[in-house]
Amino acid sequence: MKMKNPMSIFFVLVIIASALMTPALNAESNETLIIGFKDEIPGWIRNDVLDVNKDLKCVLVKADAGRILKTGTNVRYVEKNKLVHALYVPNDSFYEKQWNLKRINMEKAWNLEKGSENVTLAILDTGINYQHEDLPYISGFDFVNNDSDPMDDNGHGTAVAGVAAAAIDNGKGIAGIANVSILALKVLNESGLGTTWNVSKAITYAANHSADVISMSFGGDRSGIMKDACSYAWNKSAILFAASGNENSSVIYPAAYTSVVAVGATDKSDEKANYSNFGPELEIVAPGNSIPTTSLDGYTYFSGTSASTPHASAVAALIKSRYPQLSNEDIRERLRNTAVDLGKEGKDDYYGYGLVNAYAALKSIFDTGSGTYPSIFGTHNGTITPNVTITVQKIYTYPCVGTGGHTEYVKIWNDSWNITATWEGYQSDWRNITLPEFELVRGETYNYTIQTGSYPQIIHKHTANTTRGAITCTSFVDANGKTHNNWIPAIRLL
Amino acid sequence: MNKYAILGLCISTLFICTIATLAYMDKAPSSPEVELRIEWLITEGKYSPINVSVGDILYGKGGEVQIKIGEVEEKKRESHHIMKRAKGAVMKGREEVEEGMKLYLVENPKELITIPEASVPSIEVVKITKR
Repeated sequence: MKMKNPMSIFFVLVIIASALMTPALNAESNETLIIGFKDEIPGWIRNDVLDVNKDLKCVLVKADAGRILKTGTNVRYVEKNKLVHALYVPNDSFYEKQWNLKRINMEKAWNLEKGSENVTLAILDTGINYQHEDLPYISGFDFVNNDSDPMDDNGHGTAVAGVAAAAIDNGKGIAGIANVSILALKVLNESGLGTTWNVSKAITYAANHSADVISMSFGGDRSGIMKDACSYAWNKSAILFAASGNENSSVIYPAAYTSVVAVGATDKSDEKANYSNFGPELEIVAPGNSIPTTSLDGYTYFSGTSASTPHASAVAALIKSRYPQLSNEDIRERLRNTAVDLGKEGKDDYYGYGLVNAYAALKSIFDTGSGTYPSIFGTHNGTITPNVTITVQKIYTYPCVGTGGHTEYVKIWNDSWNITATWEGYQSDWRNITLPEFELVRGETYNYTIQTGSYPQIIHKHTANTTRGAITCTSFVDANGKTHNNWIPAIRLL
Repeated sequence: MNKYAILGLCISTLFICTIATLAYMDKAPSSPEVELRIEWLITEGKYSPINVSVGDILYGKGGEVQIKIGEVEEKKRESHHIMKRAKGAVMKGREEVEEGMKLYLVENPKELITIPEASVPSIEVVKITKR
């Protein structure tokens, strides 16, 4: 056995003792603790263990077993065994066939948000069958026939609307992603054809009617008026999504405009659908093969980048529902940053930033924002006090341009709990350190130690207030050994 | 002039007008007719063929040529292709129409917006049957 560090033993025993003395913790933890080890699980702990996870090198022990626990420097973390929220499984009759929703993590996402009627999702398409039993009240306009009746005479728009907004938990048909207000704008005729003129009119109409999100499952050639219309809507705070196209070729327009999020399609294995268009403009992907949805006379399966687009636009509508103060740029960045990276590491031409992850996009993020020069690496100590409960899986450190600027070691703790993690080198997701998921509870204060490498961005303040709470600096010892009391690491906990 | 003379004059005038009209119609050029080939490519991502029906107008040379579909034969499906032959009358641009000319569903195909799943037909004039 390795020589034990008496201070470490004392420290861990204090943590366990603190945990045991906290009544709230016992109630919440179901009276068990999890201890994670750096190396093998030591033999001396065997008698007190309720369960073992050899892969993760951790054990589950009764909280009251803590009084007889001995430990050493091998301990990586001690944490309460938290109750995990049940997945939200709606009662819609075809829900089991909706494989697509599980791929974008909707069951966890619905625990956070199902949509607000204050958020408007404009669907530009062939219209919507607003008499469908599974679709909500819909307002809109018909730009093809120039009247106020956006009834669908093709079925495509009704299929798009079902993916995005079919009623959740009504015991019928399918579950949509977001129950928000729908603005149906018919721009395509009964054959699925339309013109750049009508599309552009509808985009400006949506923007002028305060649409928060605009979903466009169509495309064509480059067009000056359509580009201007998309920029107009973006500048009026709408976030726009469009299908990348189904030719296994370059991204079509309007998806290829910078003011529009181009959405590609994936299959059940999270592989690129073989028809899905690609290129540098592709920003995100979502399921697109055999998607159960609504039709003119009931329900159907729907395939193509047309089916992928409402996945992304509806998740954006959920983000806007949960965080109404976020701008279209904020929502776009959140979708990018929380997507599940597929294909080559980082953004690539075939998957963009990756697969939409609704749950990750809806979670609260503690974000200090970027910092300023001067910068140097070293060890930061301070406190974080969130004003909302934040579920954390990763820590990201803003780097100075051209540097690694990453966190090499992180420890977050309070009186009853702690978690640590170490950077694993320039491999896979190297800008982030991934941690076992934990919560920073609203109103509580947590200590942090963050050791940075290369040149991270720094906020030169003693205390910084963010939208999700406050962060302070207790001390920062730089690489030259100099101590500062107003150097906060620019970080994002997500 | 008695009433019989007036009646005879009217009948003669009507007869002459009828003959003149028939003669003019015989000499007046009728609409040229063309044979068309309409083809759809069907793939996993392009599974919804845009239909072309009797009475539809097709456009060539940015709208200088307009052809109205008069007859469409049953479709033939071969692997990933659907093929139809059709006959049409040239409504506009009788001097411009030529064999091999591409026709489109709209005057300016660059302005056409479609659902990504739509297979837009490729249409070509294969034969001018009557000038």
